[in-house]
Amino acid sequence: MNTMAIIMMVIVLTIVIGGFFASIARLIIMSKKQQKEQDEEEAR
Amino acid sequence: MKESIFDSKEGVYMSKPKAGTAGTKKLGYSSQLAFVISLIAGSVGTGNIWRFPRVAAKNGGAFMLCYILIVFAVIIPIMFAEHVMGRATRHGAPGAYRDFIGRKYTWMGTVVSMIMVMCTAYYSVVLAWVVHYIGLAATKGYYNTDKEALFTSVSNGNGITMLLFVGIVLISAYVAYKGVSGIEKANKIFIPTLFICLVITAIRSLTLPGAAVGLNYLFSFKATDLLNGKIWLEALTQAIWSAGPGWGLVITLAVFSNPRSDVALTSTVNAMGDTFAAVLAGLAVIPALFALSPSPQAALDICSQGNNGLTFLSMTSLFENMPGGYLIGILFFVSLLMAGLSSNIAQFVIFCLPFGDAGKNKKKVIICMTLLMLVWGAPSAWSATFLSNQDWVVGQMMVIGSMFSCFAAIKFGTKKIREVYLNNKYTCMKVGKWWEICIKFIAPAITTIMLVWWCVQSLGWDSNWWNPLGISNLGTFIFQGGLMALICFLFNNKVADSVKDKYFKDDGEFPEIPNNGYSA
Repeated sequence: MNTMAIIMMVIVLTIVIGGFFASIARLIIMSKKQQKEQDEEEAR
Repeated sequence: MKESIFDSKEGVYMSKPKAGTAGTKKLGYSSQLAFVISLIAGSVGTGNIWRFPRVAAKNGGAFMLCYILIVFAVIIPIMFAEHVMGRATRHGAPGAYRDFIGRKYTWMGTVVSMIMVMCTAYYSVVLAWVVHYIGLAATKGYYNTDKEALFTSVSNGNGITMLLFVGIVLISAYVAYKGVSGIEKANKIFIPTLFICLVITAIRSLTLPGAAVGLNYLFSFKATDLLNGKIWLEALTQAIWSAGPGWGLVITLAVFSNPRSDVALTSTVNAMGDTFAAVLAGLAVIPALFALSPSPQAALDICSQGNNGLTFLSMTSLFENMPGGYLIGILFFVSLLMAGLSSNIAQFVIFCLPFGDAGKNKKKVIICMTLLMLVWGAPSAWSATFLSNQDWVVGQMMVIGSMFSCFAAIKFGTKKIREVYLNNKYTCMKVGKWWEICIKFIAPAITTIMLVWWCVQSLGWDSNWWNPLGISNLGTFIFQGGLMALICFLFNNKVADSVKDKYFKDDGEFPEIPNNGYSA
């Protein structure tokens, strides 16, 4: 593989795979936070 | 029973129990993750697996960059708008257009639903071919045979394909009948299976001797390619036909979403999930194709053969000759089936939900639509030429569907959508003014250029381009698409009146999930 292709592969895979897992992780964290807030509201 | 209550303990909407009955039913998705998985399942289809790899290999790393930029500048902005439309109105496409931008635009939503009727009819046939090939892969049925003759026999006048087509339609209709809970259960099987099959295939493909040649073609980058308009148009075409803005998919699935979830974040996960599946498919297909082809030019020629040429002719040859090809062949076709079936089920809900909005009995609607699918899809199951015609018309109509979504956002007010609906109190991913620029200028301009470009290109494919009975020409697109739009336009008021309830309040709050028959 030529160097340019390797650099491009790293960039694309970082954006695509990193972007997907980062956004899904953020979604899960946000869902849990919302759930916690609801539980606390319920407890009050 | 139209009302629903929020169960703060479970974090889901529950329908109020009928008088004299005990217990409640969950409305909407069981969790935000389940909602996002359903969106991804709807978006990821056969286009990710058989079209993306070959287009990417032909155009190289510049295509990849263009594709990612288009996902962010066109696909994600349209998805934001469609998500808001579905969730704010809590109706399928016709009702969503009616409540969001006015009664006289209901026909636009009806066109979107009609496109999906047309699409699902022939898409079910493609899935029947895939199931047929799973059988052939398992029994080594395509070994030592003329691949072209085999594919012609599978796709033209084949009784087994017809039976499999009926089976695919019935399975899709059954899961759609089960509503959101059915879709969730199906996707729990389909999506993990799809990704596991793709990962195993990609690992095998990447470990073949000579796989690096394929990677070189997939990612090789020349800065001057970024100035090549054709590569940009290829990337845009692929992104629109793969991720699915303009299908009514996001509008429909957002109807069942929790009003507290973040519109921007869930739409971004959806678009990124679709892109991830496409890139994974690229890694599964292209290295194997280049490793096992006699020369890189031969591999590139295969990439130019079209979707069917790659999948049913060339890939089967590769599976026959590659070490471990028996298992990889089965996994490849299973992943195609999983991707396609999950989309097919979502498509069924897209065109059945408007009848639910009109208060029609779900069972009768599903039976009628199943029969319609069988009648409309039968000519495609019998003749691959008819299927090509339907595919061509639907492809162009989807671009028009995307333009309708942009129009709806602009008509309603992009600033209001952004400030009131996208950046509300539950938002964790704030949307900046970039979104307004994208949805007002970039997305409409690019989709218009793409439609015009394809129409102009099509003039050169057929000297009788005006012929309304042509296979893939401008005449047939204008005839079928125009007829569809005209019918929807003429029945505008009737469809608008049929949507019984109005949940849209225009106060920035997303209404509760209604019990429309599909939300439980």
